[in-house]
Amino acid sequence: MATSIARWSGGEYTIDLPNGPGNPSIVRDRSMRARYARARGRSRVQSGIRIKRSHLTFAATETSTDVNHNVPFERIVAGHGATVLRVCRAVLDPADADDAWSETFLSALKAYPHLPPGANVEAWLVTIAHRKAIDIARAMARRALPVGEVPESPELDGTEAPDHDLAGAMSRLPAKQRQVIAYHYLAGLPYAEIGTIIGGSADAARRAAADGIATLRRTFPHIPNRKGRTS
Amino acid sequence: MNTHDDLVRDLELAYPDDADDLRQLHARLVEAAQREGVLDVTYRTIDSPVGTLLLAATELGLVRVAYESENHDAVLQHLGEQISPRILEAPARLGAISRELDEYFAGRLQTFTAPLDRRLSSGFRRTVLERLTDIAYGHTASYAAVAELAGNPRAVRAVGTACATNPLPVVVPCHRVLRADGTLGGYLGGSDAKRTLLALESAA
Repeated sequence: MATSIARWSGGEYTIDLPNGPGNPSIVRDRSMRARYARARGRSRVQSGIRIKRSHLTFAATETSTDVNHNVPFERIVAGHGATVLRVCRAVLDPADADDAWSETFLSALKAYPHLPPGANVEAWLVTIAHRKAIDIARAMARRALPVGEVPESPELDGTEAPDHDLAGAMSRLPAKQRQVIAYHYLAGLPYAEIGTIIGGSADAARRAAADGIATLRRTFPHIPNRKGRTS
Repeated sequence: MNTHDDLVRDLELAYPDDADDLRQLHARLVEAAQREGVLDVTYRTIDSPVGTLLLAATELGLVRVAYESENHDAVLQHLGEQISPRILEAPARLGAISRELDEYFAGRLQTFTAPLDRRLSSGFRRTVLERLTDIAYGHTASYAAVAELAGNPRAVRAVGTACATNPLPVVVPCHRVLRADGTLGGYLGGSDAKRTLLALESAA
């Protein structure tokens, strides 16, 4: 399939598409974000230049009315599949994450023809994933045998890869904090949107994220300062 | 130091989006969607002597064949508008026609038998395209002859339009229609593709 090339040019992303450079109907399409994220990742490695993530969000969804209209669902999966998988993995155990991803995209495919034109597809998918994750967690709780004592969280012995440590630390956070961090930092959703998804205010979502990150930082002091990382 | 970006990057490293995992999940999605009857269009691409061809099918059969020059992304977008946006890349449903096309391009198959979904053409154009299979493999006919076959001898230009907008090129053989003077005439896949197909058929 045709590939798109995202270019960063002083405050704006322009995208070259088969139908011509900078096709505005596609530039606004949030479904392309994962590709840009990958392109950005490469450019960071090559150039060492840090690009603020806030600059990468496509702000024009409110100006476009038919951006997502009748776009083949394959492009939705290609554009958002990776992000939704990260989100599912961040809020559920690994085996359950795959089920949540599958159920999310199957539900999305069923509802897709009725999605209003111009809808924020990523927020819509995260909303579905959130509900599926809750369903799966509930089903797990029902199946689980009652145990007299909650098992201790495994101690870190310093041999695990640091990235696994962060996943482990995330899994020990309260569910709400995990969700808010995943939806904000991995899916890039604003707190107001997250409040709508999980039920609550934007401020409550922001506080939950801050509390969660404070806990993560206690375990991983390097999080706010990567220069301190040696691994 | 930007805490937000650092955390984003650390989380992305902690939860990698492994391409193999995504491929498996995609296959699982196709399976489940088909089982539940919510996959309206599937597609795949195949390599051929006339370039990469896009093949798209509904549950009824092959609905679209597209040359690269038609822009596959644009063709898929069009299918999303004309049929349904419930479209996934899934080679399985296109296995039979893909094998037939491979055989055809190898010169070992003259008549396609895989089911066709002709919903993208209608009216006189559809009549014209349905008549094209009357032109046998290795033979050609003029636009005027096809107009006569389709029951309207004066509609020569309309035959040209029908051929130019054939949603199922190669399989529905509009490449076998030539100008009355025997010259090539136009072709939606380009004249090189038309020449290639005619040479293939005359060699076999």
